[in-house]
Amino acid sequence: MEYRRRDLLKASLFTATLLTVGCSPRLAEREEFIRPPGALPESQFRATCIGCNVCLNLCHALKFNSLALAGGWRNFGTPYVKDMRDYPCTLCMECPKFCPTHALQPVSIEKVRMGMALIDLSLCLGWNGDVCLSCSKACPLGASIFDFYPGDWGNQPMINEHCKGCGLCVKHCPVGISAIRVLTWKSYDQKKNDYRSGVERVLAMNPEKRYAWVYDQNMPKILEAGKVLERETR
Amino acid sequence: MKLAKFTLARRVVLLVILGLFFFQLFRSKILIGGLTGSLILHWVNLLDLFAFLESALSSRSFQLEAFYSALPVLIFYLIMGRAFCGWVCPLDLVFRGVNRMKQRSKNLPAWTRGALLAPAGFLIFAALAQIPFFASHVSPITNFYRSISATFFWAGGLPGEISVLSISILILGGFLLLEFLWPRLWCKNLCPTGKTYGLFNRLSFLHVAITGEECRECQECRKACYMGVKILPGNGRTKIRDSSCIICGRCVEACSAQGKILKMRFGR
Repeated sequence: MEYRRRDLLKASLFTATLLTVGCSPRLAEREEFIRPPGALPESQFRATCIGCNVCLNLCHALKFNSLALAGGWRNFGTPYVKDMRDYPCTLCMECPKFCPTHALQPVSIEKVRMGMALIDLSLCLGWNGDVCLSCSKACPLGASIFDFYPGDWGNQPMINEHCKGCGLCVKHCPVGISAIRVLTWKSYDQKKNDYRSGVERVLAMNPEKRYAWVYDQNMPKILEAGKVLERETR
Repeated sequence: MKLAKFTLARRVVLLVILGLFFFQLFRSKILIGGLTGSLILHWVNLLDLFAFLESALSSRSFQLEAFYSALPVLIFYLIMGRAFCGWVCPLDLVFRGVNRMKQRSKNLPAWTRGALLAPAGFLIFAALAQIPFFASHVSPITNFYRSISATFFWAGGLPGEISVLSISILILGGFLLLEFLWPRLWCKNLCPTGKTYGLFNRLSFLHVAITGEECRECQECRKACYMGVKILPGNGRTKIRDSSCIICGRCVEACSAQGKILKMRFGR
């Protein structure tokens, strides 16, 4: 095989085009995704995953359908858990066992860190005078994940940082638009302090203030949220 | 018309594999994934060799388990040579359909002829950009299987993103256009996946053998070969070891000596 100067020029042009497309800062914008269990750290995961769809189709074959393919330039074709309201991850741990490139690594359930679930106190029935605890009953790791604050207003649930982020609690929340949202660890770290101080504030309220908070502020919100989406049992 | 037995066998193999992958949409666990990476019988992982190289380079780490997934593929194609392209790759069938639409024998652009241009380019790019760009974004094989799954999921109302479906189909369309403009440019000169398997043609057990019978140089074999391999006259060669030979057997079928000169052979 003979190479001419022009070949070299065209080859470098080819590579340059690819480089511009891939590295242009606008396209390289990063989004955060909730990855399947056992995933490597985000940048490492993106570098290893070849988009072969084994996890996606395995999840489908096992009738869970939790995974979806991400769009965008950097994450194109990589799996993430999209719709936790209807299709949470069940932590069956099959996809990490069979990832061909080991972008998902087979770890025990205790070591999974997909994300962190946060309860919206203003929507949660347990924090607004009802006895619900659906989330803690749905959680596959139950007692090690949930802390409870028993008080005059019932047994108020709180999710601690052992949370795996599977989203089963999101699905089983009886409030129309689930009172729980799962965040990636990165965005959780940003919101952590605000959230903790919010919890402290609610716990420190005197009975009159708490009554006003529940009935004047939260009840209309909860009733509205319940109407948003009729719960479907799947 | 002669019974084209290799073509028939090739199509059967291709369609059986495609069908097994298709049944994953209906919850069969015989073959899961796609030809870039797959899972057989809920038991063994397979991983395309170029995808393995690219993933290792872009993540800058050697995953032993990923190598174990690539190992069965490596061993199989050390034995079978570049038979992947002729017998398994679904794009062979798709491109054949495009070729039928209009016969064109345009000269391929000369600059694409560099043997390592595309594989090396994609590997370097993967290492720099830290994403396995060819395997996950470009590869027509990945996009083929991805668009099937994405279409099914979209039609069934399962979670997914419409942009992934449309972009996959767009990329596939780009490959069809490329095939329409320059037939087999991709397969012959560019496809990194095929070129990787082509390296094994020198060692493979399965190959097209040339017997010592006299050849009348009718050139039927070269007309039949869409990979542009120089087949006959053999000039003393006994085996075709060209890295673009996809061992499809079309030359054997086309040979006017009816299998006396060219033979598909398995063995050293």
